[in-house]
Amino acid sequence: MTPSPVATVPDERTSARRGGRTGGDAPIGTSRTSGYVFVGLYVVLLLLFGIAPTAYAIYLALTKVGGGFAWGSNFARAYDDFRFLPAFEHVGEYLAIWMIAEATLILVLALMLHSLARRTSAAFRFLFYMPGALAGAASVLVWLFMLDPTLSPWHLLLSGMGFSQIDLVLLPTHLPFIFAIMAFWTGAGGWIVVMYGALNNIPDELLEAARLDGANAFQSALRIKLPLIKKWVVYMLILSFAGGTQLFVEPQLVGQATAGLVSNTWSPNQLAYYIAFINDNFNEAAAISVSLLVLGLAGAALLVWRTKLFEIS
Amino acid sequence: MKEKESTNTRRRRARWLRPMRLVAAFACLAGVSFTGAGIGSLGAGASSKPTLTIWYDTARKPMLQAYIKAHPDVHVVAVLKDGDSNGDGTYQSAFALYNRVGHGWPDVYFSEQNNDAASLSQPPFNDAAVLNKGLVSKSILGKFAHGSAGLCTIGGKVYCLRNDLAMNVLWYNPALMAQDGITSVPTTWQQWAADGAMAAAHGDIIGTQGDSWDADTFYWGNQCPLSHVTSPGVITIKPTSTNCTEMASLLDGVPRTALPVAYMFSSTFGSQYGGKIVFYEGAAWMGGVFPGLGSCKSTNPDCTMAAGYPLTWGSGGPGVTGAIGGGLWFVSSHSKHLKLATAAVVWFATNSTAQSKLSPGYPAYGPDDAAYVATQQASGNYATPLSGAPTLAQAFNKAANEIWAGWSAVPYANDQIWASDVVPTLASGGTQAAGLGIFAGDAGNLARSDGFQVHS
Repeated sequence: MTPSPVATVPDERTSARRGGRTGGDAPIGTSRTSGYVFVGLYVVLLLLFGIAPTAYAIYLALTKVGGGFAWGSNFARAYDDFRFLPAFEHVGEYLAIWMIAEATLILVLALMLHSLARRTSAAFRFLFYMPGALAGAASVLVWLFMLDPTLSPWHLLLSGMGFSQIDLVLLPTHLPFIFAIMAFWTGAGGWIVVMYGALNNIPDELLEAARLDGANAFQSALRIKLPLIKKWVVYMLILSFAGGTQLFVEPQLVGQATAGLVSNTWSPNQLAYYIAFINDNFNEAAAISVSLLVLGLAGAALLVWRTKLFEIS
Repeated sequence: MKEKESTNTRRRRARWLRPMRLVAAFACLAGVSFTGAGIGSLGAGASSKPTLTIWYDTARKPMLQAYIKAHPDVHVVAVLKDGDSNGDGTYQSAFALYNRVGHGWPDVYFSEQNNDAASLSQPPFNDAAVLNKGLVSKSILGKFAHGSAGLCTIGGKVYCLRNDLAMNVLWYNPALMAQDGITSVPTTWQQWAADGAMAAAHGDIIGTQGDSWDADTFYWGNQCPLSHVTSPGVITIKPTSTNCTEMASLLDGVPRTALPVAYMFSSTFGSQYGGKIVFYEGAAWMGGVFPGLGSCKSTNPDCTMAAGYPLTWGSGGPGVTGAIGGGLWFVSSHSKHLKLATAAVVWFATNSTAQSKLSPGYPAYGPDDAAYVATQQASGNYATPLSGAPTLAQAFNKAANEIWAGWSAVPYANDQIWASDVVPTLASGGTQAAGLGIFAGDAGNLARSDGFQVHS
């Protein structure tokens, strides 16, 4: 028998029963109230820090600096800015590198972890997750040391690649790769753990059946495990795309730490920041932010639609 | 039973948590107080005193401490800032927000960024107060070095006082010159470039290129019109001018080993080049801070720098030079204590002790120059000038009056453009000539986006 290429993750209640969870005995009324409390808290925060700023950004993007409806003039001026297209090109290159790396390396590592003995796997999961503790500004500092050939523990490797000083490492053509490496280094560990969790949700019976049918580890991973965690991969890509288009901290800090080697308008979010705070034009900056939002939503919608993410089977 | 235990545990935890929360709350308050007041605690203590909020950078801390000590009647809230250096836009970001909410402005602020007067005095920021229309007397303004108000003056209005001039001079190391067989201090760019081969043969350097100061050193110093505001709203950015192209050709002809692509304040400059700098056309404040001279001094006690006249283009060429940095003192037009804030700014920029002993740069206020030079000479940081070469005082005084006024302050940061757009070209083996074109293109775009009419 050939294993079915399409399978579904059993629902939570089935898994819970299999795991012998005792908490399922709680009265339904209590659990429903707790659910509302948790969701309520989230909704309040979402309204305050998600919906309200978004609405304000849309309002700013559609109005003039001194007040009055601006139609599309803020958008037109932003799109006409000589830094607009290069900024999107930079982030496009960065996203392509980062997302391909995520979709391949994270899955490969998660699948490898899943095939290891539990204790070994736990040690590796901890190792992979460690860099995640140094997210954002801290990771930039670490990478500034790692990438400076005169300071880096990998200086032999960097020198062998022809990089004798940091100016050569931070050439404009290298920047998308460098920021993708930083993002992967800090973000991959968390996603590996998430994917590992998703893989653990696959019933042992299913994998056992595949093994009995003659599927080797590679076939089992490709035909059973990957289709079953597809939705998690799509979820990861949606978040990465939305987060990646908003790249800011890494180019901004690397630029400041190297006396300006990276332009302060390298990414669209930096450009929006520059226009808002250096040119004091919040309306045009808001137009760029809204454009990023639309881009993120469009990317998410495309992935949701193409992968039927929200379909319940 | 379980529930009882858990209640007891919660009580015990609560007993521990209460004082911990108090400690945390105090720590937070102390943190806010520390970051908010900084070193201002020296002047704190009397709420009836007028309060001045002063933004300073680390190099200005001794001056500020002296001001607080000398003015016990003023409550100073001192806030440490980055000086808005390298075109970071820290101050612009803050003022954009303060202008929106209608409060938060400092009374006095110090900036390391040369173009801040052009930026912060004009729309949309409109913060810097006009100083020469009643706030600072003509007699005080008249004692500042010739041309020092250039970067502070927009349309006849003076918006800041220069703290120091940062004019470029030719730094030279007499010990290394003797070692490399160079017998006289060059006075022209051509002689300097020719000496590059001799320095390179001994593993030494005659300067650096490929940092954000290139334009301030080489092109400003040769009257190259890359930032020349000819009338309000009109700027000339002309990289094809002979003054620009001849300098680019000269620099491209110097061996890269003698004029490497390097940044003086990078973490490794000292170890790589510290003891190898024969010449360096650079700012007056650099004399005492060249990195890595310690390693050179350990083998040669005389390994220190002396200052020569700024280089000229050809023998008998015009005596002009550029400038790298030089601080600016501003009074916020939003200050509730305009007179007191102005008095503070005047004190910082003119006080003899502050300028001669507590400030690293050459005072823009003329009467303080002699005392500053005397302090510098007594510091032991400078070499004895070679025979026939100028003294420190002569070199500084001449250079201070030769800063080319045609390099105008603009709302965007020229050094930021050079660093992000030109340095990568130079680092990957490109030429200064190519860099000039790149700079002009990007500076032109920025100038247009800031409303300038660009002539090229």
